[in-house]
Amino acid sequence: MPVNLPLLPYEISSHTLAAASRLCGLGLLTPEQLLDAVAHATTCQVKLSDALAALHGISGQVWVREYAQAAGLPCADLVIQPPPDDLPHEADRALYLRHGFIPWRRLGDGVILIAAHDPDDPALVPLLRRRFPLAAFAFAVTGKFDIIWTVQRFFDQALSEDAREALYKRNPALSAKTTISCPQRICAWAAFLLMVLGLEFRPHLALIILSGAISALYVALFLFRAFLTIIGSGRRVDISVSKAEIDRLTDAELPVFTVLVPMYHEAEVLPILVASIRKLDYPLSKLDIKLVLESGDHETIEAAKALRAEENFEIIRVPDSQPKTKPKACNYALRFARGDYTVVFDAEDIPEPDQLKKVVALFRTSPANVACVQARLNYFNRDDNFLTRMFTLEYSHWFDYLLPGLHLLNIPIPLGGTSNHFRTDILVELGAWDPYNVTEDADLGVRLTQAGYRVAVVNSTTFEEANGVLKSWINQRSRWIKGYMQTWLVHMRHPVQLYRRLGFVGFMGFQMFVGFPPFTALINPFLWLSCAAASLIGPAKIAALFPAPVLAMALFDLLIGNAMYVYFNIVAASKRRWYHLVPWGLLAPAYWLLHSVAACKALSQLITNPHYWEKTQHGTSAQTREKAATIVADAKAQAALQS
Amino acid sequence: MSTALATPHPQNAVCRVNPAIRAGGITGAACIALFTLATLSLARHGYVQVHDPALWNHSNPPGAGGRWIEFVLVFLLRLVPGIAEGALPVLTIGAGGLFLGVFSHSLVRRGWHPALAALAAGLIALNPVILGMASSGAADFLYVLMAACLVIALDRFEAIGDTQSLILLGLLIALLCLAWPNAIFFILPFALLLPWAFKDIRSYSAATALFVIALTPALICLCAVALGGALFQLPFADVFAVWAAPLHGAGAVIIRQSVWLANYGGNPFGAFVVLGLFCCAFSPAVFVIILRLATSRRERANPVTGIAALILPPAAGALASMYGQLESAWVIIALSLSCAAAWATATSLSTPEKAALLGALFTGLVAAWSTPFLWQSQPHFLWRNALFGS
Repeated sequence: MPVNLPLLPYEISSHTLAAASRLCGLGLLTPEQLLDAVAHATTCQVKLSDALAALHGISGQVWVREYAQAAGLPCADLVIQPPPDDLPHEADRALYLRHGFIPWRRLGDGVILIAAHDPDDPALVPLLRRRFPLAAFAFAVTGKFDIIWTVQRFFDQALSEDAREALYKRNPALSAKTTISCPQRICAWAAFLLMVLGLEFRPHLALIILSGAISALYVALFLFRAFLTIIGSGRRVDISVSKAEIDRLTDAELPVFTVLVPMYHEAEVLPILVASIRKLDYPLSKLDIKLVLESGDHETIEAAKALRAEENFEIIRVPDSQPKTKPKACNYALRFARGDYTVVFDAEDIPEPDQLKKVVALFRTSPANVACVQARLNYFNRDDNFLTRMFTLEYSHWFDYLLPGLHLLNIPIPLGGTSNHFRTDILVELGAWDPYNVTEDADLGVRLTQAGYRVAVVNSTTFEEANGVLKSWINQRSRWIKGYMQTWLVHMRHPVQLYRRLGFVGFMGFQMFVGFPPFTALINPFLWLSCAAASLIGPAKIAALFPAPVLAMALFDLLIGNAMYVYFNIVAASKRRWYHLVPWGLLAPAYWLLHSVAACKALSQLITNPHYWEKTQHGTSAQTREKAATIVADAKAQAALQS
Repeated sequence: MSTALATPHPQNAVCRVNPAIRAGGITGAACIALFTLATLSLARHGYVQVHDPALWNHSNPPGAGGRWIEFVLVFLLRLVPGIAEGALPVLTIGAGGLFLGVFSHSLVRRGWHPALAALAAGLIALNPVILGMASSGAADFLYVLMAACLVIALDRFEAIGDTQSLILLGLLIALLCLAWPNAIFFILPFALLLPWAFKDIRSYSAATALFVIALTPALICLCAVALGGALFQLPFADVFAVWAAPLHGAGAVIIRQSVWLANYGGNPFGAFVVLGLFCCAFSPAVFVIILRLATSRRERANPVTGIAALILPPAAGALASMYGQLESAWVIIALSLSCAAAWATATSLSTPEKAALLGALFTGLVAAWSTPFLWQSQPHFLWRNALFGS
């Protein structure tokens, strides 16, 4: 049901206008630019300072200086003169970040000097009153980054601890900090023992049961995926947000959108990301962009600074701690988020320009229990080599067929690694991402569903760089498979509870998409070898050992199942009219071999180093390097023109 | 005694059933009753349909010769305790009733009056080729209905052109290949029409993709059968030999009885002409297709379904005749009727066109019963006599 948000009246204060006029006087702004910024601020219902920063690159420092002069207030340099330790309160840190203020000094006579980005904000005094009911307040002007820096300085330990341990402290059973629980260990050993005893004392019966169970599992998996593929291949599943719905959105009603971009040693692709965000059809002044960088990653930090991007691009330095994972970094940065919605993009992502508006429109027309909208993912370098082509077919099948099919049938959706758009309050309420899970997205998708929320799929694509280097591909894929194993182990600690929360369909969907894929990748080589051995021994002799139903299922899996999976790979690219990729689908069996190699690595790492994050190497594609070089060259040319 | 109701009951409670579903249900039930009466009449007058004994007895798996689904259906039927070979018509009666019920339902959804939709279904059901095949348990009847489903899938593909419709087309082609030994003769000309139906065809890769997606499921099924047979020492060469034999390895009696095979076996052009004339005479709904193609711009914008319903039956018959695989023209006439019916469910006809279709179905019905062309072979002649007890 569409929700009409009330438009908050926004008046530009006299001090603000005076400060802006001073900028004109200094030649930093023309009157036309000022009028343009005022119009933008009024239309989009944002602060004039944000509009000036987004549209005309007025830096925070300059603004603070001129505003202070116009308002007759002191400037607060929180870096040189930080507040005393006892003044900022940890419980209020979210307020400091959201409203841009922090208590700075105790003056005499019970007066507290507040350093604020916008001292005229009427919300400040009531908030301060809660903490200091008897105090009087005076104001100084400070920059947004100063406040962030101060909050980090004061509460870094707590923030870092929170980012790592909040989920584990809240509910240890839902954290992958412990890989396998004690009951699971017992069950696994019991199952293993049973199998060994069975093969020892009743080998024929054990073989029949084992073969029958595996064959039935493969049949069920195939039928389910086939059904989803056919359902998801229809045109009607693709239209979730129309152009008319997007056009109905006004800039004023668009909420602030937090964009988290975690990066690690990815300086070379940073220009692509910044250019993509600038191309988004969304008021830049309403984007709260966090470049989430590890504090030890000086190369990327310097590269980010060198870009001299707009003030909306904030660098959040994540303190060094273990585990050093993307979800931990995102959790840390989330504490600084100001947006009603939050999205995670990877460094090399190129989202379609209207993606954020489509997401806002979809959230508005979706029920309140839709907590996340997943965009589709695909690759821009699909034609690089065999790996990138197969990767493209795989992703196309997953995002263009299976996910829409799941969405249509109301089955829980495993999230993709990026372009997940969340309602920020629900994300925080659920404890955000599990820093110990290397596929934090899949885990969060299941937790969302367990809590009664749903994931929707939007008809918008984010293009990424497909990994075309074999070693890097295996590393990445092994991390994904390991993460799926972790997710399955975590959520199967209480299977009855999981079943009750997800329902039959959701529970089966969880098994089919989270549990079975790693399992099948692991046992496929054994099945292929046994098939080859059976051909050599004589199929008729082997067939005589098994009852007809088991044989029928096994033959179906071997002959029809495998071939139809190849078929699904073939059709995967047809929705996007990438017909030249169709013949490549025939090479799917070779791709499956690589999956099995990655699965073996995943299993060994699950045992030896479960929380290790195999960093994916980006910027390996020639297309990516060309794009980055073009963007950098254009930026330099533009800078030269301006100077 | 009080006349008041013991429990409150809404006075105006009406059981609301979708009119199309109601029409389809009633028509389907009526057609099942009709086919059952015909079967009982045949049984009462001692008519015995000659079926392939290998089909019922499952005596020779390679003799399936391309009728694997038929074998599976018979296998399932034999699971019912006490069932005999004479129960084969159960399959065709049920399938026929279902097809005509869905036909009627689809026409009502297209704006036909339920009574007219039922009349159209009834005229098709009374046509001797349909009545004969439905009431005698002829396996060809199932293939004819499946081919009609393929025409409906083609229409969907032509109209929407999305991947789903192409996948469904591919799966139906595969099913047809597994079920009908003569499927290839229908699919070959069908495949020629496919690119015409695909609006997105702008490059060779698009054309290749079209054929790959449409034909791969059938190839997979056939390869699976070949490989499965090879794994268990049932050589595909033997299966192929049975398939390639006249009338797919049918018994000598059946081959001798086939007047069509004797006259047109190995003569595709003659077969095409004669079958075309038969379709025009006994399934004159094809004239409505031609009329619509000539007069409707909308039909000409998406002509492939109409052309398929028009051309594919005689073309398939001609190809089958060329290889000695067509026993009689009945199958082709039934195919023409079912394809035309499929086309009619996919088209919004104007009132005069609806009247023309009904008139054509009636004319075809009268021509089929009253002219001698369909009754030249002994089995058909005996069937008619047994039906009417003469």
